[in-house]
Parts: sequence; C-alpha cells; structure tokens
Amino acid sequence: MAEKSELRDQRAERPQAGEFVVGGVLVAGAAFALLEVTRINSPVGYSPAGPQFMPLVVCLLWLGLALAYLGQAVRHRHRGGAAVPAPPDAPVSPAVTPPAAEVTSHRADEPISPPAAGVTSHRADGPAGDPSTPAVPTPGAGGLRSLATPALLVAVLIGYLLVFDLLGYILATALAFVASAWVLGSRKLVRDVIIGVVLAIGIYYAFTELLSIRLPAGVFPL
Amino acid sequence: MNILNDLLNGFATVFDPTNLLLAAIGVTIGTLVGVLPGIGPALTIALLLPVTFNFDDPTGAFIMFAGIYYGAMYGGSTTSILLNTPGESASVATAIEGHKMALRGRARAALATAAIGSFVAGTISTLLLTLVAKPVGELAVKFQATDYFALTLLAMVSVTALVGHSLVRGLLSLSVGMFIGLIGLDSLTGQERFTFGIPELNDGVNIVVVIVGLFAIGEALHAATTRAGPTDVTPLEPARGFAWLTRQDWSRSWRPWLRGTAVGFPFGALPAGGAEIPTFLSYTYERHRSKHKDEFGKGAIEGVAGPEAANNASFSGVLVPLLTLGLPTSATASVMLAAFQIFNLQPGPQLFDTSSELVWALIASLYIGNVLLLALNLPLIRLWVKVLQVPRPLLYAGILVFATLGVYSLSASLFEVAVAYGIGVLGFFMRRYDFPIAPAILGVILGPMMEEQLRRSLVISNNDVSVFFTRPLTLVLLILTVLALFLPYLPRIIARLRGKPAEMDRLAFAEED
Repeated sequence: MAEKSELRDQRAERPQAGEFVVGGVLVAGAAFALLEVTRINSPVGYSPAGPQFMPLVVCLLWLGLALAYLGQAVRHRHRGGAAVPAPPDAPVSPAVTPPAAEVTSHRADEPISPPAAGVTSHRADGPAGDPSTPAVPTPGAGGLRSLATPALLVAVLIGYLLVFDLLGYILATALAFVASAWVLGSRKLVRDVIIGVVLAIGIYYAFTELLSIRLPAGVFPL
Repeated sequence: MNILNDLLNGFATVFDPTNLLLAAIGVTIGTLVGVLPGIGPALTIALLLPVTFNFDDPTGAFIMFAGIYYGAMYGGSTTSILLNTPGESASVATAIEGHKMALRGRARAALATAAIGSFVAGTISTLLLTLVAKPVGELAVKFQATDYFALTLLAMVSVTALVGHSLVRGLLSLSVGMFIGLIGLDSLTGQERFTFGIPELNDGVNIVVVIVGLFAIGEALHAATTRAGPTDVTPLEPARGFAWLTRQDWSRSWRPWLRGTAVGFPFGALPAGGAEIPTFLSYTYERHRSKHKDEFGKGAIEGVAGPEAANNASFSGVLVPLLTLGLPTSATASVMLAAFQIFNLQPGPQLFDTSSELVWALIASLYIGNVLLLALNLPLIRLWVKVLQVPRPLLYAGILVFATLGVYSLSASLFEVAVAYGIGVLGFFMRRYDFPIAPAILGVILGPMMEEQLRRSLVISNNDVSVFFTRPLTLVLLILTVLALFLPYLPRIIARLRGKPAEMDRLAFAEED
C-alpha cells in the first residue's frame, strides 16, 4: 500500500482531492447496483446457476473495491496533508471539493440513463452551435477549472443530440463540429465553418448514397 | 499439406481484384486514422465498423479490417517517432528511442526500421499463426464449459493485473465493465437485469458503443482539459535517395527484429495478450544487450526495431485465442469479435470448419496487408506528416463527429448515442483519475461469456461446484488466475529479497490499446 501512495505522489498531476469524491461516487453506485440486484426476478434465488448470482458477485466485488479505493484516498489525503506539501495543485485543492461533487454527481447516474441524468444540464441550454460562448478559462490550471471545458463539450454533444433529427444530419453536424472546435480552442471561425459544412455534406452523401445507411435529412429537402 | 492448400485458397480469395482493392483501402484509411495522435487500432476499427455494415460478404469486410489494423499500427509508430505522442500503449516503447532519433535528425532511419521491422515480424508471425491456429483449434474442441469459464476468468484477471498502475483501480474498471456487460435480458431465463425499466436496454449495451464512448469520446473530453499548443512535429531530414537505412543500421536492426518477433508472438497468443508486455520486454532486453548502451536514451536504433517488431508480431498472436477459442484478449480483439458477431459468425473451434474460407482469406490478407504497408507507408511519409499537423481542436471535433456517426449507424438510435456520450463521461473520469480502460472493455465482452460458461457448467453438473476443482485443466487455469494477481508484484518482491530498492514501473504497463 505504501508503495502505491508513493507512486501516486510522483504522478502529482492527478487531482488528489477529487479521488475522495470519486471513491464516494463509486461506493454509492455499487450500493445502488446492489439494490437493483435484489429486483432481478430469479426463480432459483441466488443459486449460482440463476440469473441473480453473477450480478450479485459483480456488485459485491465493485462495492468492496470501491471501499478499498476510498480507504486509499482517505489515507492518502492524510499523508498528503502531513508529509507532502501538495506541490503543484496547492492553490486549487482546498476549493475543489464542493463543486467537484456537483460534477461527479451526474457520473453516478450516468451508466444508467445518461441523458435523463442531465449531464451539466445547467449549461446545456445553448443547443449545438452557439459559438458566442464566452472564451473558456485556461485549462491546465488543474482542479475544477479544468472541468469547465469538458463540461461545455458535453453540453455541445447534448445539444447535438437534441437537434439531430430536427435539423437533420448535415446542419446539426456542421453546427456541432464548429461548436466543439470553438470550445476546444479554435478561433478561426470561417475555416471551421467551411470544414464543418464540407465534412457534414461529404459524410451525408457517402453514407446515404454509397453505403445506404439512412441519416436524418431534416430541414433541407436534399 | 492441408494447411498449405487452405492458405493458397485464401490467397486466391484475396487476389480477387475487389478484395485487393479493399485491402488497399483498409491499409490507407487505417494509416490515415492511426497517424492521428491519440487514436489506436481498437478505436480505428470501431469507428470504421459501420462502413462495412452493408457488405454482403463478410470476407471482404475482414480483409479490410486486417488492412485497417495494420495501417493503424504503422500509423501509430509514425506518430510516436515524429510527435512523441504514442496513439496506443504498444507504441510507447517505440516513442522512447524513436523520438530521440528524430530529434537527432535520424527520423527516416527510425521510420524505416519500424516499417521494415514490422514487415519482417508480421510476415514471420503470420506464418506462425498459419501453422498454430488449426492445431490449437482442434485442441480447443476438447475444452469443456468449466475450462472456458476458467480461461475467460484468467484472461480478464491477467490483463487487469498487468495493465495500469494500481490493482484496485484496475479491478474497479473490470467490475464496472462487467456490470455494463450484465445490462439487458438474461440470455438463459429472459429476466431483465439492470435495465431500470428502459426497454432500449433490453438488448444490452453494444460493445461498439462502449468502445467508442470510452476511447473516442472519453479521449476528446480529456483532451479538452489539456489544451495543446501548436503541434511540434519533428521535421524530416532531407531524403538521401532510397537509402533510408545505412549498412550499419541494417546490421544493428535485424537481430532486434527477430528477437522482437520471438517475444511478441507467444505473448500475444497467451490469454494475457496484448502488445504492451512484449514491447516493453523487447525494449528492456535490447537495452541490456546492446553494444551501444550509451546511445540508449539518446536514440538507439535497436530500441525502435525490437519493440516495433514485437508489437506487430503480437497481433498475429492475439488472433490465435480469438479465432480458435473466441477469446479476445485485447481491446482490439474485442472489436474484432464484435465485427464477427455483426456478421453472425462465432469465432471458436468450429470457425475453421464452418467458415474456413473466411479464416484463411483473413490470414492471407494479413500477408498482403504487410506488403501493401511497406509499399505505402514509407513513400507516403510526407502525406502522413501533413495529417499530423491537423490542429487539435479540429481533430477532436472531427473525432466527436465520427464517433457519433459510428454509434448512430449501428441501429439509427439516438438513445445509443446518448449512452455512448454517458460512457464517454465515464471514460473522461477514468482517464482523469488514472483508471485503466482495457479491463473495462474486457469486462463488458468477457463478463457475459464467463457467466454463460459458469452456468452451463453448473447445469451440466447438477449444481455441483466441485467440477471446477476436479478437472485438471480447469484447476490449472484457475491457479494461474490467482498467480496472475501477484505477477505485477514479482519484480518488487525479488528486489526486496535481494535487498535492493524496488524499481517501480517495471511491470506496470500503460494501456489504452
């Protein structure tokens, strides 16, 4: 165990305070999954040959490991506080915990029903292409700030899903391409729009005409 | 010679102009996508899977896959050498010396030794695959359900134990993957499991959805946290005619090529498959044995030649358990298995009987793919360098678009796309907190296989659990599984015994196939 913590200190770029939250979420997820196991309808109960046995084993394994991970995180945090003066992300780590909890909270629901769980729904209102999104704070600062860009990107993806059928493949894809490029730091809007449109049209025709895979036509009667 | 006959028939199939064209297209697309930083062969195949949905004949599709795979692997080594960003873990060892060589103005030599080494290794190991596959398949017919159960367990556990930095995190990945694999209707009793009342989940979560989510979307989200500056592609030195390698380069390369092949193939064929371990073993070995030890760390050609050969040879090795037992042992093999299932083919001992033409065509196309690559990769190097210079925001935006397209074209379901996005968020956090990805993938695909064999064994034995301990083969496999858990700690234990300070990362292999 001790060696493992040392190793973790070497990889200092990994956010440490968040481990605590991740562990908590994992434990909660395992507990929830265990609850679901009891709802599986099994005529033979938990007999190894029945449908309930393997889910039970997997979920118990998951729960045990999540607890072990949480234990490591707690111990590591104590060590980190005392011995290691938390070098690179020192300014960030105190502030991290509460908002990180908010971000990881949708992760708990997420293997189950991703869209319903509303991943970053607080930001998702700008559907697909809203290139006027304010410039993203410089990532790499570590901690919570670096979660802003991926969260925005997820928002773009949700927007993409929402307008996929409505606007049709070409328009939705071009918008999503431009918006994600913007979120990822590209500022050459004209170039991105041209590439996005060409890409979307190219894919649309290649798939519908050559591969006969149907893509939604949407607003354009193409 | 029966095998020779089969193989010649395979070549006859591949030399059909259409199939030859498909192989060439596969190799080109594979290299094109594989060159992109951060994209490995597994993801390349997963993204390109929909292209083959409308093929009437699975043979053509698999010929193309073989090309894509080899192309992606070559592309990965190009990226490692010129950009020092290995697209997959198996290229990490190549990047160590290869990038240093490029910085010293020897990029062409590094690329050439990688390409020719891969060609040599690919040819030899495909030959080995040809010889080994059928006998192993005949042996596999004798396997019983308990053996399959133990074998699946061994594959999952050993990959988990050998990959990543922490056993706890690896096993957590595995158990979450197995959980995802359990979602859907139980295949034996039809009971709903973890479907949460959502009818779309009754069929379970498609492995392609999981792979695209964890790799493509997870990677793109992760890239968003580390906004890269302009990409630093190491410039190629001006060409000196056709002489990519000097006489000295050749004489320093050919032994590492052969040694790399000798390590790569058997390791790939083991249930703990994948290319990570043999590439690092080869690198370590070349480093210890080299007459030019002082050059290691500054760009030694042996350090590129060996690992690249091992990388390539291990793929043919991985095909042994995949084709003969239906057992995927790497993320790439999992996608290949998914491709088989799309065409309603079940890899396993029967495959050589039921679809013998397809298997031999696939093996023959591996040879062809190797030749095509050598012909394509080096002359087109300037094109691949151009691809490397695609700005990162556009690259990842494009990956998101193609990932969405790949999932949507599976069954035109936006629900599945949403699931892929959700799994992408999971993949993002796994990367952020250093959870290995490969165990999760294997959990999704091998978990249900393991459960099926377990229950089948118990039904046959009338719920008598002792069947797992009375059959010698099963018992041996189960013992190996337990041993695999301790393997990563072996160097440390030995070092402890010798009283030396433990060297850490020795047996921890990076992942992301």
